[in-house]
Amino acid sequence: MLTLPQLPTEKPLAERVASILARVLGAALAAAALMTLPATVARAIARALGTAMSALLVLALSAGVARAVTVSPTAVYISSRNPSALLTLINTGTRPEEIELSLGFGYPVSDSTGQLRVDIVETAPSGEPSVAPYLRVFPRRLVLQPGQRQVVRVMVAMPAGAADGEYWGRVLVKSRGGEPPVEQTQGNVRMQLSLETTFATAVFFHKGEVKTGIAIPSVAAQRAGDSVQFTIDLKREGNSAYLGRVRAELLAPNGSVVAEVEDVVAVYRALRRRFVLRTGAPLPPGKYTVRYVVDTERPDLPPQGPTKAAAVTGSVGVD
Amino acid sequence: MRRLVSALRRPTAILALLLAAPAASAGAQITAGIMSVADILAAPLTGTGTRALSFGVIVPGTTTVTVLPASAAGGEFRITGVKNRKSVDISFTLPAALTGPGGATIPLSFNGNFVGLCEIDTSGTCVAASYTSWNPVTTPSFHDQPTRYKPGRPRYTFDEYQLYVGGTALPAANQRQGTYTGSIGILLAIN
Repeated sequence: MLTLPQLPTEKPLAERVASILARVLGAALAAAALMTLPATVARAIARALGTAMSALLVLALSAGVARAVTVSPTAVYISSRNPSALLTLINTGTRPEEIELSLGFGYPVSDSTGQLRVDIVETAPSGEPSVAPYLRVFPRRLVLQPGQRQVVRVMVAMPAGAADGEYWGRVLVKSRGGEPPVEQTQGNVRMQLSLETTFATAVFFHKGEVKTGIAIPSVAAQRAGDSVQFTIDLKREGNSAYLGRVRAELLAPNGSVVAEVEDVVAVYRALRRRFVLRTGAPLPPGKYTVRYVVDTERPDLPPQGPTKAAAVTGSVGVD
Repeated sequence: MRRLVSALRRPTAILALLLAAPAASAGAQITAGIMSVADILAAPLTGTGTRALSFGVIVPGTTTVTVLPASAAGGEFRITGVKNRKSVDISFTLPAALTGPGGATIPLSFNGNFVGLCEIDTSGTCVAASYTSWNPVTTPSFHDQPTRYKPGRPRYTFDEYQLYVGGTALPAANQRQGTYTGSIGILLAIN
């Protein structure tokens, strides 16, 4: 199954030191037990230790089975002054992973009901500020053995005459876990679907000055049974994606907060988001209000990355 | 003395293995720490397909085989790194057919509640209340939030997610014998 070449991977110094230290400690402990304890006591301890550690070993080995390829960081920011960045791929699973990297373009869009969709395409529609044609990644294919990691270099070779602004792209990291081969059977039909996982890591390329902001053309809140449906339209300003969050609170007639909701938003152009504010109990009658804030707080993204903008706040009465 | 050495040999070997296991894990954390501050703040997602979707072996004459999600034959993905996130976006890439010997194909259908998800608690068990299923044909991108079944919870409290996939295979009554395969893709986009 593993027909791809194994590219060099690096093991961090700390990992090597920790591993050596563990072995040394293990050997020292065993030697100390041999030299200091009476034979009968040592034998009893050895039996107990053997049983307990066998059980622990099974737990230790099975704990990592479900984990596999990790891609870090979750977004890549590159500028014309420093046109390359690194992605780190780690196989934290227990089986080899075949990995293939490719490039694409796509950002979240929404329909009239606020349903989100991210269509990743190879070639961006004309007029889109795509960095994909100018992106290079190396290596493109590799096999990561369990516990190994690989640094992938992401580079941008943007034409000199390109306009200032932010350009978008995606590095797609597709991994195919070491599934057992499908057995051949005679005289019957056998059917099986293997599973592939793709991480679409966002790439942002900044050339010259970039700025962003958010406008809120419309906002509405409607009671729907025991909950309130809050709809907010977001329109990006400036020349950079607005990566932030929306936080909304449902205020009871006496001003107390009875429900809240929060989510990240990525407004590349325009986006409609719909939230349901639930209290978990029937809403007593009265005049309710939804108070909201939209800001660029994204602690899940590299702090030097998303373009900052002033927070926008507002409120709307519940119909 | 020889008996003593023999008795201690097994536990010593196991102890060494045990000490090595957490060392590898510690190494992974240290790795994240030395890359940059950003990598500590942004816990990355980890994903893998843990079990293939298997329609099994069928005898000639069978024209419909359905596998439900979260069943013994269903496909399973595991996603880790969900804790403290405010939402997760999941998209599926579903094949139209399985391919077999000599280019023969078997049509597939996923038009129904054939995908599902469940949050996995710290004991490795699916939190039953969190289970939901949807139609991946009519809802190709699913945006999940921790408030979906727990009002007032702005972030996920557990770190793992299990995704389940089922589907229907529609072989012809005289389907050519052999092995038919394909692949289902899951796309995780951080926006």
